[in-house]
Amino acid sequence: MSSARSGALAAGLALAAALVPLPTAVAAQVPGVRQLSLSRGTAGVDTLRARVSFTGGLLQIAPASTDLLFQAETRYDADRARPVAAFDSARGVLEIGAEAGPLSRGFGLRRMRRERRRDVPLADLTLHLSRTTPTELTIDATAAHGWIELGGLHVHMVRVSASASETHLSFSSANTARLSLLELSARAAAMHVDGLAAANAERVMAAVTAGQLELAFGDEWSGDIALEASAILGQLRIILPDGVALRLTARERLLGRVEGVPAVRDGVYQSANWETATRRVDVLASVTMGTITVVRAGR
Amino acid sequence: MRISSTVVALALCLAPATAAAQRGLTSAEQDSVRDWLSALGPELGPHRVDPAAAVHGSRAVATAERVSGDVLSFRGNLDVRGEVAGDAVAIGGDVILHPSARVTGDVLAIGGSVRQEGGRVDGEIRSIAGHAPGIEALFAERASPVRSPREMLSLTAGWFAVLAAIAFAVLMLARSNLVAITERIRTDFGKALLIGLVGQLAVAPLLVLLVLGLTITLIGILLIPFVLVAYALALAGAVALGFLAMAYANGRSLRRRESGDETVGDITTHLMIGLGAYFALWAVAALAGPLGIVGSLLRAMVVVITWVAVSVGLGAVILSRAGTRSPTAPVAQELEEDEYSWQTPTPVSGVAAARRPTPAPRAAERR
Repeated sequence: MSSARSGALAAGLALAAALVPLPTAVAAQVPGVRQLSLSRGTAGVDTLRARVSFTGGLLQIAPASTDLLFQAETRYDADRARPVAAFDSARGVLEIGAEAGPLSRGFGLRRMRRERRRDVPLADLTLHLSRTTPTELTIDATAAHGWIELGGLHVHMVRVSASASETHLSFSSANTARLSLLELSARAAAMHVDGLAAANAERVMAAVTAGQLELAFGDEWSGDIALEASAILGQLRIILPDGVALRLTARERLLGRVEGVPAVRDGVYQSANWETATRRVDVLASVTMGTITVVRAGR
Repeated sequence: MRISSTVVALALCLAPATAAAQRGLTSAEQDSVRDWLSALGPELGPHRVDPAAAVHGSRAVATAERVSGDVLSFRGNLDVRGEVAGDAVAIGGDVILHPSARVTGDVLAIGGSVRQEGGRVDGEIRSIAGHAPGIEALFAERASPVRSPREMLSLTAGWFAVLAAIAFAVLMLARSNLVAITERIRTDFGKALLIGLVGQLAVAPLLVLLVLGLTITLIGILLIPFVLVAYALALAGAVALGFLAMAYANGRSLRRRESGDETVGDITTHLMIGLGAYFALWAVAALAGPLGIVGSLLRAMVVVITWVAVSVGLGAVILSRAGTRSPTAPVAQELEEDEYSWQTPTPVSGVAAARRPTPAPRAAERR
């Protein structure tokens, strides 16, 4: 082997050997799934105003088992979602949730990775709330699957708004505070409410637009309930136990109709036991190109 | 004696690493942590973490201890048994709250979790962690400018292993070239350094000229990708070969051996000694990394030494045409005998002159 040739061979060998560690240097980019936890004790806070804004994934809300004001766990894809987690102790305001990140930004591997995970949930949020602290709760869920259990809490105002979502809201035990307002809104979404009577609500506002909303009152009652129900291009079902007195004022517009009540005279139906019943629901039903159906449970 | 001196040397080497365990962050480290924290944004919430207060490694607040102000640990756990009159923060570790713990501010674990075994926290408890793979990977990426001595040592050892492997390949396949380049370094050190520097400066322009030349010929455009690869191969080979020659020369100098006939074993030994010397320098620089400015100066010195070695080696490779041209090789040796051997002592009176030997006539002349 000539000297020149062996020199070239040595150079080639040198480069080949030098390239061996390269794969480790070009570290594989890993998916950025992160977990954010936030919690706080009840000390120093009189009223909790919790605002949940959640997009994409599973949302779970339940009463806390320990003496905590709140405890939130957010698991999210950092490439596609941004978490929201802030608590203002002076005002008692908790802002929690996750929102979709800017999908159009980013290039190369990061973008490819993000695109590959498009059908994977953006985030999961589990929120536990205090059973004893007076709470105002606002929930805004988009493209989410929500399981919200508010039984046993001390809530005095609840607003739940769902868009392109499926939401299950329940009061499995009585709300320990008088709920001044329970506002439910489903837009292009399905929402099921169980144990609505246990919410101990003075006033319930339920609206559905291009979706389905089911209100099951259950058997645990603490007082009369005023319900304002509105359906536009959607279906709203009211499930009442037997024996509950019903007065329904119907405003049917443009192919809208109210079903499940024997007769509506001058737009008003009133059950025979209205004057004597201990459990009463006064419904103001407004329907446009949709249906509001009243169903008696057990029939 | 030798063992005790080795132990002392080892202790001196390990001292910086031990000292690093409880030191604060350097300004560079603080900057990289600040960048990383600012990238977290909403995850961090309203917190303003000042990395200047952080301490490397794990940190503990004892049961009877009361700390006024924030307590921060960096890349280690924060164990709280006493009272913290401020925030308790762990960056790259867990915050452990024991039953006797009391924190008047917030508890924050970034790249870790908060383990609450009891205690009382007046503020909020926040943790930012990642499932594998998750935020730890991000943390490692962001904190990469702050390499630990262990990481630096691993890197140095890796490079040593790679160079040793190349050295063995060269010894088997191009030993004569290596020896020739080493001879060139010995005889023309200054010139080799100069040529090496010029060579480094000429790398890019030469490549551009080469590509332009190929482009002008039109047909040569097709060859450009191959030429680029070949150029990179040649350059990397030349640099590696030159550095090995320099290491060989250094190894020989360290053993105080003059050039001359050497066995393969001698060459191997000298080469490994030379490489080992460079590795030792880098290892010391790695261990001294956490010593702040001293460590930085030491590392800069080692970088300069290595760069000079690479430059001289590259220059010698160029001068010796990759070891194919020896500096001691005669240009032409037509006569085997001494030039004056034909002469005999000539007295003044004169003697008959002997016939001067002449080269053998060529075949054509013979005819």
